[in-house]
Amino acid sequence: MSGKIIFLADMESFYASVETALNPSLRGKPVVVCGDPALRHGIILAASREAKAFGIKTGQPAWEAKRMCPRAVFVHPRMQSYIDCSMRITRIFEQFTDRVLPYSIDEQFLDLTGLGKIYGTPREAAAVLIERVWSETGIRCRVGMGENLLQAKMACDCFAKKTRDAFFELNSDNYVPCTRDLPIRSLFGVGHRMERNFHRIGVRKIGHLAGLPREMLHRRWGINGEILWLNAHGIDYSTVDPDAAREQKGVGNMATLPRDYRKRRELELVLLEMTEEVCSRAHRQGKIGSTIHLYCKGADFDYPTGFSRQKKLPEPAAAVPGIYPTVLQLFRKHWDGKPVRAVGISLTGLSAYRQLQIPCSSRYEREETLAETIDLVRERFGKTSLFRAASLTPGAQLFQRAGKIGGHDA
Amino acid sequence: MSKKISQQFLCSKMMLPEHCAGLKEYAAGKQWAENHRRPDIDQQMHEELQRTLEQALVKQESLKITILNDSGYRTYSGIPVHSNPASGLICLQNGRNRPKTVKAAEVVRIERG
Repeated sequence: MSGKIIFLADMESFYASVETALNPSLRGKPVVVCGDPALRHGIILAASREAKAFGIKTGQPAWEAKRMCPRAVFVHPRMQSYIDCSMRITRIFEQFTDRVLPYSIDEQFLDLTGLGKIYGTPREAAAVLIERVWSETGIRCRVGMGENLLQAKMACDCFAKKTRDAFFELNSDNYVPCTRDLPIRSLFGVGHRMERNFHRIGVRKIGHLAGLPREMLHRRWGINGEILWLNAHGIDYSTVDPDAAREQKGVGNMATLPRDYRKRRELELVLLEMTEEVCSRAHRQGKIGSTIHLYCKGADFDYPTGFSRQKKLPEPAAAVPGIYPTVLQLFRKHWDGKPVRAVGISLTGLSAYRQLQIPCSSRYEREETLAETIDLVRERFGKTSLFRAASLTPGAQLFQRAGKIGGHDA
Repeated sequence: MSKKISQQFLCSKMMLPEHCAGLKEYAAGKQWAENHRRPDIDQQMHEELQRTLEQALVKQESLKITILNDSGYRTYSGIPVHSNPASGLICLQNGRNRPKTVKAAEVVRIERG
């Protein structure tokens, strides 16, 4: 036993719960948060407990949910409200411990090691925590506990959501017995593709994976295979380090397109707009990146197509002319011509612009000045105040995405 | 050990840029508040500060005076040449520049030396 007490607090139906908290007249009603059905975003982002009782699930198309529950209340997402609520919950957690790590908008890790004398047993501490979040925000949360972050995450995802008191504890003694019969997809880190890979070699449950030799997994899938083997055994070396979490490794932008994009010209235009957005973000933070990562995904998520590749830039950059040619190179090399529904670009290997000794040609300086000026104009007058003429042509996404957070209404 | 193994949750974090920016701003605000948090100065401590200052004034001893204001903590060294309870100002002569004037209300620490 390591003696560590790590909690993962997960907010139940977070977006729908925030909507209900903001509008108490929705309490007790089936509430569904979904994007604009006219666009591709017409999928369910969150469904309240009452909506889930009708079989409505996250990720389902809105029309299907409407058919399952005609009296469901459909609301548009308000991303800024969700971010504000998530940060309010962070502040509540910080009253318990200074070691809080937000993992996503609705999940946060807490390290309560050594605080037993203040809060009692972990179950008692979790009960207080759940009550505080409920009374101060109107959001229900579930708590998974472990001796490390992985055990806490697995305890929350696989067990706490189903228990009466919304709490479950995994530790080094009970991890393997509790998880071995769970389907392999339940293991943290196993996605759709990895599940298929495991099925091909006869691994269907977490216990099967735990029984394989670590070296074999490393040989086959490199570091990722090794991590999954460790996860199957409940071993994790991560720490709840809020300072490390604030260090930004990359700047990225991803988008689900409103339809299948088939034409190269349209896709390259979207990539240009996204490159501009990434550059602008990097620029605002005074950062410059050395590696660009591009991914394109097909429309059918059950039979994934597309690619995900990265390439080092000829020299670190944070301006479109320094990055876009590499994005185009990657795209033209790896795109197989199949329809694309989601694209993402990220710039990694960030360093402070002023730390680097970059040989500044006058052209580079001009481009930098131009990018800075464009950013200033956009910051003051809005993202669509100054744009490329190409953004007025079919397929462009600038106007659809301006003023949105995570592709949804702010 | 590879970073992916040692910090798999940092590598798989799913955070919106706007959320990250909000958290950064919040952390910076907390840090600012921490840097500007005035230490509790009780009666005894207050008297101790007063005594050290008066002795230095009489004996013309050098002092290090730490103050806290909106710019954060600042430490000034010098020999106190004047302390005016009415205006609440202390003048320090460090021999090089014009005397430095500090507000007594902003003083959080006085040390000899």
